[in-house]
Amino acid sequence: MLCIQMPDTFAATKSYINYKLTRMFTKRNVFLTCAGIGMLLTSTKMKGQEVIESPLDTLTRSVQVIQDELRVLKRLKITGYVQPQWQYIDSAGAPSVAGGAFVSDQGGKYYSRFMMRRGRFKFTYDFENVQLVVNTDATEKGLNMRETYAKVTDPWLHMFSLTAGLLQVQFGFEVTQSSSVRETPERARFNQTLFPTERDLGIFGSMVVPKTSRFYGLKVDVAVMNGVGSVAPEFDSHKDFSGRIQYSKTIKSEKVTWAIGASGYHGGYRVGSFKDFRFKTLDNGEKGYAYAVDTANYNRVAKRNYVGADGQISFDWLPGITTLRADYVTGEQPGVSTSSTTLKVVPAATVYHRIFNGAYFYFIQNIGQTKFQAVAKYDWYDPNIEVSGKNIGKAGTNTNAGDIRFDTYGFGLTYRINAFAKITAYYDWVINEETLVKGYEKDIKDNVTTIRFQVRF
Amino acid sequence: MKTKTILLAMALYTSAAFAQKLKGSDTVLPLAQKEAENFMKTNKTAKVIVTGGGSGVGLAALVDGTTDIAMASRKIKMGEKMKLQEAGKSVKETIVAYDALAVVVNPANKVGQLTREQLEGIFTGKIKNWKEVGGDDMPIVVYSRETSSGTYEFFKEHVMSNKNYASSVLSMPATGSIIQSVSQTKGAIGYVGLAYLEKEVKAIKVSYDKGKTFIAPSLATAKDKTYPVIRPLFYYYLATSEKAVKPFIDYALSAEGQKTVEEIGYVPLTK
Repeated sequence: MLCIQMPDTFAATKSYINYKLTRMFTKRNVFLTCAGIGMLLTSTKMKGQEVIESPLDTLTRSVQVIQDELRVLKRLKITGYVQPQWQYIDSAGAPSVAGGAFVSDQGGKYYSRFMMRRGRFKFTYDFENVQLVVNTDATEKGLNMRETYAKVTDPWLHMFSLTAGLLQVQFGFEVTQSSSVRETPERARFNQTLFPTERDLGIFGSMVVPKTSRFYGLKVDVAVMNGVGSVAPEFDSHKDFSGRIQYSKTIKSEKVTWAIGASGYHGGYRVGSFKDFRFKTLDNGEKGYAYAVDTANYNRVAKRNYVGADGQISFDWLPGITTLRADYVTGEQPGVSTSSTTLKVVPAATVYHRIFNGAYFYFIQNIGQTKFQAVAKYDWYDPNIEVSGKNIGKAGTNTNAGDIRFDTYGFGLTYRINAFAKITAYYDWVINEETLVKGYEKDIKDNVTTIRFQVRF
Repeated sequence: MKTKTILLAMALYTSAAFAQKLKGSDTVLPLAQKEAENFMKTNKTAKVIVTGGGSGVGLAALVDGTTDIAMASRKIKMGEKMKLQEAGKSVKETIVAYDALAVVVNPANKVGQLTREQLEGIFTGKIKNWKEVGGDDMPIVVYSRETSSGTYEFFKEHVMSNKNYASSVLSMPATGSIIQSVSQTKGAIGYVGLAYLEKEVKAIKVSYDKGKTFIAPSLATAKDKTYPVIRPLFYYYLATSEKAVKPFIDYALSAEGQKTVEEIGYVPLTK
């Protein structure tokens, strides 16, 4: 019975399942169809909402994106220059300001050298009226900081700015001129003596008169600095002041341009417990150094007071652009027995006060429209104008190598390969006073030949 | 498909890389654009790209090497020459046309003529009201170009006797902005190149003989040199790229190029 009934039951069940499945599938189909139509409609609707962009709009949008990104990227600039050079000096181990003294090896045969004189990499970030600068020097001597400062320019007139950090000293023309554009390999001896790295820590304000003013061409800089003679920390808490005023003008024909400037420096460093020498007429009638003040006066300051004037003129004429440039500085400079170079650490021996003067003269001739430029330069530095010649080194006068005058004649030729690279051949003919100081009885053999390759980017 | 895209990109890059670039004076811009257009029609392989920005911008681009020809509405400055020399570059100069500088006021302004001295007074700020020069009682609103513009320099030197602009002068970034501002401001005055003259502004007659004769700026008065405020327009290029730019320069100086000069509204070179 069971077996007979089974088919019926089975058939009924099968029929029921079929019915259910059919209904289910029908429902599913209806649902899927609805979903499909819905999606299709949604899709069509979505497509209907999209704006069909013209190729020009697409391009404009793309350019806009690129411009926005470029604007951000342009805030950061990386510039710099490298100066590999070869040098030859007349005698081994002679002191020199043409890139530093030549080291003498054991055999005394050190006449020439290859060196990386400067390897500057400068990072400048500009955002609206704020500028951040980090300038480094990468050479065989290592990686050294040259400048790190922040500058803020007034947003209204763009005339006043304030700069703080490790920055360039504002004194004279040559000190503030970049070594990448200077026509000679090195600065004049007096500039290297007074401002050994041309940098100091402090703050300076600047006023640049805009083009729309009747005083256009006028620039004024004033600074308060540590007064340390190198890129080194403050050692005495005494602050130095410097200032420079300059005026430049180009005549209407655009054939002549000229500039004049005046600079002042008022500063010094604390002497501490060491005695200091002043130059005067001694009891024996000779001119020489004698102790100036009591060592008990611990707070006294050895003065660094300078004044200077500079000027230059360039004119465009038949042989090419000619430039004449001159700078004269005089003042009081403290130093040690063998050198008048500004100290970078607290004095560790007797301080010598000296009245000095120095100057340089440039004659620069661009040879027609060629890539050649010729330069002749003369500079002198007399660290002690009150004594000269064989009176230096005389017994009982306490005069020494720090009082010797140097005159330097330089001649050079530059070939500009392109906007980025140039080669300079330069000869320094250095003459020192003949004195009684050992080693300086005659003019020492310290003339230097320099072949320098420079690439600027 | 990928290969085609790369080839297309390479072709575009190549054409852009070898295109001749002109950059600089906004005054010279319409002329250079038209010349470039015509030049490319006759020289199918040539590509010339022209952009403005001011004479100073163009000459700086020549120093940087980002343009082949600098367009200028003033002579190259001493400082620019020294920068080029420092870069080991020597520059060549070609005058391609002359331009008459028109002083424009709002059409509603009843003043129709001014002497050079009066213009100097207006732009230096000594004359502040139109009634001082025979007009209505309304303040003068002075528009000028930006300091990087050659037109700014030329106007200062030749009309203002090198005196400085008043601090109240409004600096505009382009000649078109001056036209627009003067057309919308009743008391406004400005200066534009002859080619930019439009109905929306009124060009005034100028006297350089203390009021004896007043001359209106026009192609005819500029050509016969009776209109006094005329200046040369320059193309500057490097001596080293002379060969590359010569075809375009020659075209600019040709009869066809000089015809374009006249069509644009500048004064062609006299032979």
